[in-house]
Amino acid sequence: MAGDGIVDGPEYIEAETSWVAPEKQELHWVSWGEQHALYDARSGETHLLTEQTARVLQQLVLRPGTAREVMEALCSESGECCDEQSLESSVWLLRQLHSAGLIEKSGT
Amino acid sequence: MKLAELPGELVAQRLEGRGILLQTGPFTVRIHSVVEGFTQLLRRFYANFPVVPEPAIADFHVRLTIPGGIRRRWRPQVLLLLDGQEVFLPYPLSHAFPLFEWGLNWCIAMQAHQYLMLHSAAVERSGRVLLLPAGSGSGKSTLCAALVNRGWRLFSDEFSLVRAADGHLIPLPRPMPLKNSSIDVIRDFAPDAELGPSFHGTRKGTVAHLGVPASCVEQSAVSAPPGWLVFPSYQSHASLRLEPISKAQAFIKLANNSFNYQLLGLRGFREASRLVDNCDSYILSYSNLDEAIVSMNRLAES
Repeated sequence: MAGDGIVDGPEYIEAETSWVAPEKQELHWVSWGEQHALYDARSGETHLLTEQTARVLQQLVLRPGTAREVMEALCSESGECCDEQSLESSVWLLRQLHSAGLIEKSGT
Repeated sequence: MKLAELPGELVAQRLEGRGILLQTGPFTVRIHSVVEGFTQLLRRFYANFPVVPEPAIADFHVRLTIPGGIRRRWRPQVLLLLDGQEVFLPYPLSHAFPLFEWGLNWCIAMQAHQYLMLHSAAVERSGRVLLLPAGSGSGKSTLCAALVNRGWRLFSDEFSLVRAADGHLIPLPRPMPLKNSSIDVIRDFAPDAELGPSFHGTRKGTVAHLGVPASCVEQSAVSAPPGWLVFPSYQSHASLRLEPISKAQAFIKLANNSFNYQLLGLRGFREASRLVDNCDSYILSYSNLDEAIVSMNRLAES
């Protein structure tokens, strides 16, 4: 909906957009099985993350990247096969992280 | 020395003069008052609380005064000064005691940030603390009062104070303010319990205070580790349900029921997560106090 003048909404997150996460020391984690609580020292906000979302964020903390790069890194780590559905899932999770203020577009 | 050991005249004299220093949990409170009815209720509900010998430094200074003006003759009021500041609007003179209690709560909530403070009742049995975090109207205070009348040790019906050093709960036993229908519920449930006068038309409806058992005051210095997190919800005619919840769910519910989680920042996050790690967590729906108590006793025995 570029015609609305909105240029940074989550609907514009694309597979090739590059993302960056905060520095490792800004994020404090507590994990209970596949549920994770995260304290973001920059904002003072606490977030609850699922296993998948936490893995995406942790991957971006290691290395900024696009949805495709994040997906490939995670698939390689877990030995799973990557497909279009994995990419869609990666885009969707990045959207969630962006909405929560946990990641930013690289270079912004 | 306990407050009950001071003659009534001396208590009134001190309240009007240099004040009385009372110990309540970890806090020392200097109380001044010129309100006669308040003095009687203070002596009644704080009879077993220690009077701190002078000279000593108070954590909070609470003063009850009667404002002047024409109202004094036809509708007398009481004004509360906290550390010399007017924080609340004046109350009817007859409501001096609940005003004092709310004022002291306010002092603690605003200043005691050395603790993670939870909006939670806390009672102890077998050396571990059962926390009942919940907002107003959840039945938290009623359940707490019932548990205390069935042998659990009162830590607090309102504030759970978590010590940073070891994650233990610090007792803060104070008179328990029961509201509206809870007053008769507890009167029926524990006919021998010490219930004070009913204050009608307060900002929380009708309020009556339930006295603290002397043994709970005597053990005010004995902290204990957390054992169970139970998020209570009174639901009329509901059958009892006690369901385990995940630690992540408990964590969020706990943070939402804290007075200062946000303010403490990373320290709050660490202390809240440690507390959750050390507890089994449940949600409880109940309508029958006897059933709820059996359920809590089972938890303590397990």
